[in-house]
Amino acid sequence: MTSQVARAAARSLVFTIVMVGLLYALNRPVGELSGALFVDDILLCAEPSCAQGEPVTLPLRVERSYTTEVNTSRFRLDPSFVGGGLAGVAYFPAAPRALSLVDAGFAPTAPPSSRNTSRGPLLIELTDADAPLVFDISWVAHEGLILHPFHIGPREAVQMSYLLRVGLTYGLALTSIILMLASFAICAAIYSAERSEAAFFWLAMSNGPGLLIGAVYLLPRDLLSPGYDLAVLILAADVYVAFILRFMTRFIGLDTPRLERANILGCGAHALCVLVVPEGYLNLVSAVFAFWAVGWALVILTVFQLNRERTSRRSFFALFGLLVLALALSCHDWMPYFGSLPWGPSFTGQALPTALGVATLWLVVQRLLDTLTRLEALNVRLDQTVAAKSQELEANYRLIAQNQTQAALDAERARIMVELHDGVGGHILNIMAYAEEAERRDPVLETALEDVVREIGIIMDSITSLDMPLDMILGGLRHRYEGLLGRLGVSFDWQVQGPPDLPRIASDQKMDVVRIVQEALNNVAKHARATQVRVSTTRHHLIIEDNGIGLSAPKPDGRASLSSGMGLRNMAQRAEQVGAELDMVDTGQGTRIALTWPDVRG
Amino acid sequence: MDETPDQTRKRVLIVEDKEPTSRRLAKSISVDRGLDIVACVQDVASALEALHLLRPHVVLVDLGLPDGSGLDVISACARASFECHAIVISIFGDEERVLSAIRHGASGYLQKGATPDDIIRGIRSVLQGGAPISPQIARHMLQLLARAPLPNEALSPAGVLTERELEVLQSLSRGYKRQEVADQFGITLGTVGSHVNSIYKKLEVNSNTRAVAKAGELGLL
Repeated sequence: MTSQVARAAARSLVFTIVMVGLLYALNRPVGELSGALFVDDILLCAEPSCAQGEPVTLPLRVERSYTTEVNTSRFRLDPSFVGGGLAGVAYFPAAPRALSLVDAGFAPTAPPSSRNTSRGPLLIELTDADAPLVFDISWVAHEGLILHPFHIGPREAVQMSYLLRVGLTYGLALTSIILMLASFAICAAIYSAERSEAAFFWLAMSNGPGLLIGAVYLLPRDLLSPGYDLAVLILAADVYVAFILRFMTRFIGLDTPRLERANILGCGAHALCVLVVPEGYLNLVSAVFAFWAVGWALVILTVFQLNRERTSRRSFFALFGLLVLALALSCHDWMPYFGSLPWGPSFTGQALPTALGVATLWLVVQRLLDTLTRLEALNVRLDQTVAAKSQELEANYRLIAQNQTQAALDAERARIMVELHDGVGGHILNIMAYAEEAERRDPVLETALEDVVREIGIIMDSITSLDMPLDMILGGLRHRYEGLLGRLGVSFDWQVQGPPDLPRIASDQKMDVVRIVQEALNNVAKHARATQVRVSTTRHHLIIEDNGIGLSAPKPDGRASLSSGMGLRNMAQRAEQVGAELDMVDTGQGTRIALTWPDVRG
Repeated sequence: MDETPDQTRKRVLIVEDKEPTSRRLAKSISVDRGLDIVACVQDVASALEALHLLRPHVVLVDLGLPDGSGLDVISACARASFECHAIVISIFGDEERVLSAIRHGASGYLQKGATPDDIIRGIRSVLQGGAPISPQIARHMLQLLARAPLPNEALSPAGVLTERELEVLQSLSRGYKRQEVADQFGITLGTVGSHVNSIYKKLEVNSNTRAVAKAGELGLL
């Protein structure tokens, strides 16, 4: 764990150093411009009339001493010194804080720019090409002085470079301010819409110090004395880092109250120091707390690295890269204060809020995309749910409709059954009882009544067994005939194994088959004088065969004439309806009626 | 007539509101010396009273009674503290009535139009533990018990048919007699009877769960 932290911290440091190095490499010393005079040798005057002086080579660096003493250095450049007239403009790519021209009477004139020129370029119009160029630079001892080389020449020759530098300093600072304002508005809007998004609250807050950093570059030069100018900048950076720390922990969903407490204590100490420390030592305070802020920035980078799995790969690389860049941009500016390396003339701190503003916008866009993706997924799920529910509903409706139809059928069926049973049945039963009790019993009447009871039973069976397989309907039929045939001395040889294999048989056709069997059994009861009737089924046959006297009027070939009786004609008709072939033969030991279905399935 | 092997005569109660039918049943039964008709009553109230006073072994009961349904008498028999078989009397042996009686705990059914011999044979077979069952009843039981359970249906294990019970029920529904079924499967007549009794019990167990499942299927619960 510790080694993991150490590795992450080292990586943060290395990335930052590499980035600072890159900026340092890009920050080239002031070089020559074609068409303009490159001034890197100048006379540092020894007295106000500047008759004498010490030639110096630029860049000139005067180290700081911690007092509030204001020094003024006068510089003189003669036309003869550079071998020609001083026409056009003097262009200082990186001007010192307070530079003012000196007139022919050796009195300083008003400063040529009201801006805080210590971090930007300066362009001065030259009026007399033959006069020497004399200027004063005021500088505070604790700030030190750096005078970079400059150019003299026609405006056109320096215009591009000047505009570029204006863009990179004041322009970038202005951009930063606009970005910070926009970022504040967006983050505040997100937070106010969704209070659980604490990360955006802190991101909104961070725009405050960001705004301040941008503003320092654009402030009028006399607004803040040189010590406070830097102190405010560094304090803003420190608070900025504190807010970004809070943003980061909430963004990755980390709870680190101790870390935040330590950080806020440091910020408090920093603010207190700025208030109580004499101005001459403010730069020292700023130097110390600049390191403090950089340290915390490295902590943020380290914590972010250690928790990189808490955010998406894309978010991590984008945010981490922009944070490293922001840190390097500020470090690059502060380094010249603490060392004597030959730094180039450009400052980069003004770009820091821009870098973080871009990071903010990136996050906001990412969030928007996330929301859109979620919304889309939600829509897809909604569609799927609706489709599934509709299907379910449809199925349910079908089921209910089916059940309602079935219920209506059942109710009607039940009504008919009750009427048959209680109405007709009751009467028949009373007649039967009466007939049995009568002094002279009438066997014809009793048989007729039994026939009626059986017939009603079969009708009731047919009502309730329409959806039953044929073998079971036949089973019911045997039960109905058992009593009648039993009394006549006819027993069943029952060989029904399964329903015949009839793919296109419908329920009314099943009843046709039943009627054929019934007719055959009636014939057995009435005419056959048999002792046994065999009913058997196979895949393609249904056979009713008795051991009675056979057909009463057989044709010479043993086949019955199917037109010989009403019952037979009906049987033949019904057989045709169910697609079967009816065969009735006298076997010599009785009658055999066979229904045969063609092998439709092959 | 069959000589009864029983030590004591079995008490029989007839619950039937149509007097000729009631007389006919009584006359048929009285031939058997093993059976003793203790009372003929005509409504539910007197049937329940007689049930508790006379403690019959067998109750022949019609379903349509003037003061209520014979099903109540059947339920009372099934709950009785003594052994009491309710046999429902039906003219046509139609399954709707017989099945609802079985669900209320009836041990069997008799057809009103049956011959005296058949009537006695039916009562005897119930007393010997082999409830009568017609193909019509068998096939409806098959429909009720043998189909696959619905997805959200929790059939009690006590209500599921065994494979042999299923085979027996199928043969009965195809019209085979008990003896023929016994021959088919190479088992005794008594074993067929105990299978049938078990099937009766399962129908009784299932009558409630099935209704609940049906309601659930329709989304009514």
